[in-house]
Amino acid sequence: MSSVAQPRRALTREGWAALASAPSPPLLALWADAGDIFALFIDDETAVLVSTEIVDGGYPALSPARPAAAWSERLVYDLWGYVAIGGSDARPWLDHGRWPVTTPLAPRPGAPRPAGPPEFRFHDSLDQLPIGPVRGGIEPAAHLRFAIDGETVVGFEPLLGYSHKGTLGLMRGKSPRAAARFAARIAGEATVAHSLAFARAAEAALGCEPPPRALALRDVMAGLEQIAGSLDRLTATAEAVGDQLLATRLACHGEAARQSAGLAFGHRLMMDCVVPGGVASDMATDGDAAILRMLEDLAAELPDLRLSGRLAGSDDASQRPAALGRRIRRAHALVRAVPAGGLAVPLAAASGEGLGFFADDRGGHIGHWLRLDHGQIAGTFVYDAAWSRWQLLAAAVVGTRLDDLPQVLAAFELCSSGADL
Amino acid sequence: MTTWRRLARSLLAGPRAGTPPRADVEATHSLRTRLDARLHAGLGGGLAVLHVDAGSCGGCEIELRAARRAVYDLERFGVRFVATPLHAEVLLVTGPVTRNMVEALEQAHAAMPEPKLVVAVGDCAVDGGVFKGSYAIAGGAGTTVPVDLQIGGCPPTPERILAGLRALLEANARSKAAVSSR
Repeated sequence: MSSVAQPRRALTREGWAALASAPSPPLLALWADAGDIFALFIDDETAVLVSTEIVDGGYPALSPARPAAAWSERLVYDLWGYVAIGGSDARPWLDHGRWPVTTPLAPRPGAPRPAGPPEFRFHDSLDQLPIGPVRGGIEPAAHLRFAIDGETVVGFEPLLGYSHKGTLGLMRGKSPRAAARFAARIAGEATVAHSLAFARAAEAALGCEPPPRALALRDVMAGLEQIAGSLDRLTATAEAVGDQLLATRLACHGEAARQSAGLAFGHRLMMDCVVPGGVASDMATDGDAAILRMLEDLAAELPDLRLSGRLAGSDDASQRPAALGRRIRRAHALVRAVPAGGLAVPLAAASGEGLGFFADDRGGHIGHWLRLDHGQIAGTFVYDAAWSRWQLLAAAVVGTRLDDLPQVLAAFELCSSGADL
Repeated sequence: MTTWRRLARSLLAGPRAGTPPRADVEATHSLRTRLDARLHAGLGGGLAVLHVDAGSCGGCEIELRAARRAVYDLERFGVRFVATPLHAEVLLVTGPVTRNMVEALEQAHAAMPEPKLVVAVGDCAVDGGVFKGSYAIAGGAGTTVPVDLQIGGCPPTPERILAGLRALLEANARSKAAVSSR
């Protein structure tokens, strides 16, 4: 379920440069802490964390060999002010020139920079289609800029940062228990997943292990969140293709899943229910019965909840009911196997470094990294699965006809908060 | 023969009905007021809503979508989500209003026609929520646009969203009825 993380390897500048110039393994995240630059790679489902010292405010860029790393390098510059030497793109990313500071996470943040219009790298001869950040419907804040040739999308660049809330800065200087509230609010649709990855990072840093009942309840919550999430996304897809009857039936099951979570754990999205060291409170006495009833109702109707023919060609959507069936069976087994015991262990006010992961079954990774100093967060970074979905969209949307754009965007389920932090 | 004569006489004699009385001005007025009020309560209560994500984590959007879908079915009360501020009576703001979203929120508000109602949904939109004090946020919808209704919660449940928007619908229908009866 979660990738096995190795301890961090501190590289020499030559070692880093060698890694930077090879296109593999793919980069997951890039951040800075206490004068070092950190890179998290994912190599065959194993997380590899390396770091090197920042010299003269810079580090060798990864973007020449890995074009997708450019967004990460821009993020590192906007938050810490460290330059990717030889990087392919030096435009701002999160910083739109609206903050009262620049490089807010640097040891000495800078004076604000003037706001200017964003620049997009499209050929002058192409028409541009701007969408957002106010997009209508119930959509996340982001600006999408398409370059179009006739009716076809030939280029795409997103402008993110509209959801940047300064979460990393807020987490600093707090205990893991206090900072868990921020981890739970990085991406609403993955609040349990983020709380879990954050808790795992804190527990890895402090070398503690939650009690078996807490671990089992966490698994139940994560399973419930995934079921509710897939029902939400299936409903959105059914709405996008105009299958109202199916959308209605899916929405009823989705609501039942949220209600059972509310009944069992006291919050419909289970926000703040997973905390470092364990879980915040026990499952309600009739919570397991409510969850099992919901799962059985859903399993009974699942064979009929198939998307209509128009979506038959889309691999993702056609795979989903089967994936949902697996998830239901898994959750069913988890709920029935919760052992008795304690709910949380106290956290020591110690120092250490830890990496925590959550791998969802859509192939997405959520990662939290923490450096604790006498029980307080001294440095942190958060990686959300939305980051890679934005990159996939950028690659996949080229060649799409304008008519198909709404369905394509719906299929990618973009969330900006997780990518903007 | 007699038939023709009777007919001609009737035609020449004119109507037998007397001059009709004028309609009672008072009664007409009070009836119109009552009918208008009932019509507005029943039919004129729709609201066109533009959602603006001003940096939300996405939790409020999950519950907003739930409020809109089957089970809660917000649209049965006439609440429609529109795609442009030009069609919106209500601006529904979620998120703590990040500094990067301030201008877009101001522009959306400026582009709306009257009555420019603003609803802040969720603790973040009410006052910044847990993100209070961050360099990157303005701290709630009220810092940027005048807020008419707050629906708190992190996130608010679909019931709370529904109850809040229904209160707005009723208040709006009454004020429309009051305007038309003037």
